[in-house]
Amino acid sequence: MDQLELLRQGFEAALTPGNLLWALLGVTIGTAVGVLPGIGPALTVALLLPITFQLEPASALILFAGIYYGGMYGGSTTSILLNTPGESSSIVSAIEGNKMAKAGRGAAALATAAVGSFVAGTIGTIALTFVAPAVAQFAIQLGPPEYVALMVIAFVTVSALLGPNMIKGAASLLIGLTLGLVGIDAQSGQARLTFGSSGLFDGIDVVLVVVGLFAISEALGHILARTGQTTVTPVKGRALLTKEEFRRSWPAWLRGTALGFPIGSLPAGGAEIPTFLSYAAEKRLSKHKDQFGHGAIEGVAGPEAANNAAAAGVMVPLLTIGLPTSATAAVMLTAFQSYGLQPGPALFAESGDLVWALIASLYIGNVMLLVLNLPLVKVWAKMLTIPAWAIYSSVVVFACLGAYSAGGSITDLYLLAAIGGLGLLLRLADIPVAPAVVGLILGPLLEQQLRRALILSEGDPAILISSPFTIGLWLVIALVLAVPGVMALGRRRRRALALSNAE
Amino acid sequence: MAEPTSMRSGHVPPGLDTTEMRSMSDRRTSPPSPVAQRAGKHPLVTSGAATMVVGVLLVATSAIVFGDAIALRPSSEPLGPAAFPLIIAVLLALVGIALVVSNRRSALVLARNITREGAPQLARVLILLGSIVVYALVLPIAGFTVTSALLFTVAARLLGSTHRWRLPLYGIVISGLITLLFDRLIGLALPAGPWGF
Amino acid sequence: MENETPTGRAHPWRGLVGVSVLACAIVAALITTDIARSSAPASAIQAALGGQQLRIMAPANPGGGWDQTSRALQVALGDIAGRSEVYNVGGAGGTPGLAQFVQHEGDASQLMTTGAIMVGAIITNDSPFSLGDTTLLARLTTEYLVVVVPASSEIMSLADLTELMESDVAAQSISGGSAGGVEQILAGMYAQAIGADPAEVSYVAHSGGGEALTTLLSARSTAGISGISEIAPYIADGSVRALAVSSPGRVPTLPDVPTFIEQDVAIELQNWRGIVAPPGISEADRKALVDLLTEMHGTDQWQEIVATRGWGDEFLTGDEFDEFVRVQEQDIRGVLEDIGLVS
Repeated sequence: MDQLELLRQGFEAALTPGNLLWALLGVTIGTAVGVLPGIGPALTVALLLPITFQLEPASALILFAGIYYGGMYGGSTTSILLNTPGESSSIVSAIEGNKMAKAGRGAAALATAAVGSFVAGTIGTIALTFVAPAVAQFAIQLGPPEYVALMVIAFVTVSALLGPNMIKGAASLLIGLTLGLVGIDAQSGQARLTFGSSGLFDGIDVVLVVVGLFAISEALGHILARTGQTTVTPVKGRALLTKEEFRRSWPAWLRGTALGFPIGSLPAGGAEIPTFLSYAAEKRLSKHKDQFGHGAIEGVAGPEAANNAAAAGVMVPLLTIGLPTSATAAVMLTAFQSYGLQPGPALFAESGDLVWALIASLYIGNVMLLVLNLPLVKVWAKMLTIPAWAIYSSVVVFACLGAYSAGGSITDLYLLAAIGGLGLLLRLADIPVAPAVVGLILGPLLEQQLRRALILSEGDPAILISSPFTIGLWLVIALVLAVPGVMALGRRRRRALALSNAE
Repeated sequence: MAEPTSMRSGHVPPGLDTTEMRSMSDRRTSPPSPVAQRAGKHPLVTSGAATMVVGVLLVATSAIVFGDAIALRPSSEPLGPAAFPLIIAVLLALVGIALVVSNRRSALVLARNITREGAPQLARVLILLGSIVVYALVLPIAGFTVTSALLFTVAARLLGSTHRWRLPLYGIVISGLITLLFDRLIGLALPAGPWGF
Repeated sequence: MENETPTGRAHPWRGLVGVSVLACAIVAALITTDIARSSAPASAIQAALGGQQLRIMAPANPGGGWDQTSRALQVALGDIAGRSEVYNVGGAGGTPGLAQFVQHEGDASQLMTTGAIMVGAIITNDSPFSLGDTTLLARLTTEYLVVVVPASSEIMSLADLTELMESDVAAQSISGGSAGGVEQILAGMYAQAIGADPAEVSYVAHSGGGEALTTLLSARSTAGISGISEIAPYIADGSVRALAVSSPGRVPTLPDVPTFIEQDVAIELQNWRGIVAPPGISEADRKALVDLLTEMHGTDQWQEIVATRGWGDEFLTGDEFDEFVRVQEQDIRGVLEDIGLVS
C-alpha cells in the first residue's frame, strides 16, 4: 500500500504537461536511434547528458528513461525487416523475424514485437515497483559460483540457436568465443590476442561484431547475389496479427517476461541472455517446431518480450546497488551521479520522489511507445518497398558512423570491414551468425566468473556446488541435458514395441 | 530460386552428377543459404567450398590462439589466463578439421571447374570492403559529410543502382542530415574537413 | 543527364530537382552553423582551441571515477570555455584510451582524464605508451581507499584480518577493481607490511567498484578494497564493516574508521585523478589550458561537485605535478614487481 501511495505521487510528478512532453520526446528519439543500426540508446543518452543539465533532474531522468525504453522497441524494427540488428539484444528477433518479413508477414512480426514489448515492459515495470527491494536482497547474495551455474545453463540452452547443423553452429559459437578472448585479461592484466595493438586492449565491442556480421555482410550478400534492385513483399493479408498469430504470441510474451525480468535484475544479467533463453524455450515448447528457422512467430514474440522485461529488470541493480549491467544503464548511472544522486541503499530514502517519478514515467513511456509504434508498423513495413540498394548503402553509412562514433577510433572501422567479410563467408557456407554473438557475450562472462570462483576457493571446485541455489541450478542443467535423451530413448522403445507388436 | 539440381549450363562438372549433389547435402537441412544459391550456378558446391575455407580458417586460428596462450605469463591463480584459450584452441582445431574433411570434395570440384562467372561480383564485394578501409583513412582529412556521401555513392553503385548523378546528392542528403543532427544539434564531434563539415 | 533508369516514375527530372534543392539546403545549413560556431570571442583559450569545441576523453566506461571526473569538468568548464564533449573509451585501466589519445598530437582541443590506476595499468598491461607521451596539465582530486568486510564476517578489526593473513595469505581473498589498479596495489602493500608474501595474495579483479561490491556482498570473499566515496553508503547502512582507511589521518567522511598507521601497519596510499593534453602542443597552448583548469578549479560549481562527491581537493600543476607523476610511476612499479604482476 505504501508503494501505491508513493507511486501515485510519482505519477503526479511525471504527469505534468512539461514532463509528458519530455517523455514523448524521449520515446521518439529512442525509437529513432533504436532503428538505426549501430547507434544505440547508450550513445544517445551519453551525448544528451550535458544538454539536459539545464533541466530539472526529474525531467532529465524521464527523458532518458524514454530513450532507454524507446531504444528497446526500435531495436527490433531493422532486425526484423532488414536482418540488420543494431544491438546484441535484438539479434534473436532477426532469426525468425526476418524470415517472417521475407514471407510477407513483416507487419505481424513487428506487431507481435511491439505488443509483446508493451506487455513485458508493463509487467516488468510493475515488478520493479513492488518487488525491486526483495529481488535486490536476493540477487545480492549471488556470487561467482552462482553465476558460473547460470552461464552454464545459458550455454546448454543456446544449442537451440545453433541451427540444424550442429557442427556448423559450433563453428560459429567458437568464432565468437575466440573474439571474446581478445583484449586485456581482467584477472592477470595480460594482453591476449591483441598482437601489440592497443586498439584491441579493451576487446572487440559486441556492437561492432553485431553490425559487421549482420548489417555489413547483408549488404555484401546483396552485392554477391545481384539482388540490389529487388524489393520484398511488404505485407500479405490485411490484419496486423491474425487470431492464430495472437493465440500463439501471448503465451510467448508471458514466458519471455518471466525469463527477462529476473535475469535482467541480476548483477551479472543484462538484456541478451534472457533473449537467448526465451528463444530456446519457445523452440522446445512450440507445437510448430518445424517452423523454427523459417519464421515462427513465437521466436519473435518471446525474445522481444524477454528483451523489454529485462530492460525493466536492469533498473533493479542500477537503482538498488548502483551497478549498471547494460551500456545504457551505465550512462544512466552517470546521469544520476551528475545530479549528485548516488544509486544504492540510500537512494529510495533520500531521493524517493525522484525515483518514483522515474518509475511512473516508465509506465507512461510504455503506453506512449505502444501508441507510437503500432501505427508505425505499417509505415516501417513500407520500407520494404524501397529497393535494396538504397537501403543497404544507407545501412553501410550508418554502420560506419556507429562503429566510428562508439569510440572515435579508426581501428574499429578496419575491424568492421574484416568482420563484415567474415560474415559473408559464413553466410556463403550456410553457417548461422547468431551463435558467434552468443559466444562473444557468454564466453568472457563464464571465464571471469569461473576464475573468480576458483580464486575464492583456492582452486577447490567444490565451491561451484557450495550453496542450495547452485545445486538447484546444476540440477536444472542435468535435466535440460537429460530430457531430450530420455525422450528419444522412450520414442525408440515405443517404436520398437510397435514394430514387435506388428510382427 | 535456383534449384540446386538443375544444371542449366549444360556441362555437368566431372564427378558431380545430381545424385552426388544430393548425397553431399545434409539431409536434415534445407537448401543452402540464399546468398550461396544466387552466388553461383552450383550453390551446394559454393556453400561446401566456403565451409571448407571456414574450416581452414578455424584450424589456422587455432594455431594462433594456441601460440598466443602458451606465451602468457603463468599466474598464481588456480585457473590462469591461458586455460580458456587452450580449450578453445583445441575445439577450434577439432571443428575446423571436421569442416575441412566433410567439405573437401566441394572445394575440389570447385577448384577443378573454376569459372569466371562469379568473379565480377566477388570483385565488387572486395571493392566495398576496400572502400570502408579507404573511408577510415580519408575520414580525418575530408571530414564526415563528404566522405560518407562518397561511401554511399560507391556502395549504391556496387549494389547495382543504375542512377549516376542522383547518388552523390542522396549521399549528401543522408550524411548532411546525420551531421546536422549528431554534430550540430547533439554535440557528437564528427571529423570535419577543411571546409568545416 | 545520362542513363537515369525509369523506375516507374513519370517525371524522372522532378525527383532530381527536389533532391538537389534538399542537398543545397543541407549544405547551406552546415555552412551557416559552422560560421556561427567559429565566430566565438577571441582569447588565449580560444586561440588554443582553434575554433574547435573541447573534447574530453574519459578512458573508462560510464559510471566510474574517470567518467564522473570528466563530466564534472565538462559542467564546470561550461561557463568558461563553452560547449564541450565527453566521450568514453573503456576498459583495461585506461591504456586503450591512452593509445588512442596520443594520436591527437599537437591538438590542444583534446583532453584526457588520468590517474593512479592508469599509471598501474600502463605497467601491468605493458602498454606501448606512458604518461610521458602526453602533456601533463594538472592533478585535480585525490581519494583514499578503505578496507571492508561483509557485515556477517567474523573479522571485527584490522588486527583480526592481519592475524588471518599471517597464518595463510593465499586463503584470504580480497576483491577490488581492475588488475594492477590502486586496490590491488594496496592489498600488496598491506601484505608486505605485515610480513607476508605479496605475490601470494588472492586478489579477485573486477571491472569496477560496483561489480566488486557484488562479490563482497555475496560474502564469498574475505575482504574488499574500494575508493571511499563508492562504498560509503554501504558502510553507513551496515552492509559492510570498514576496518581501515589508507590516509595519513582520519578522513572527514568516515570519522570513526581508523587509519592503517593508527593500527601499526605503516602504509598509506592515495588514488589521484588529473588531466593531460596530447603530446606536442605549444608552450602557449599548455599555459592556456593550465590557466583554464586553474580558473575552473576556482569556480563554485567545481568546489560544490568536489564537496558532494567526497573527493579530496588537491589541485597541483606545473613542475610539481610532473615530479609527482614521476615519483608515482616509480613507487607503483616497485609494488607491482613485489606482487608479481610485473617481472
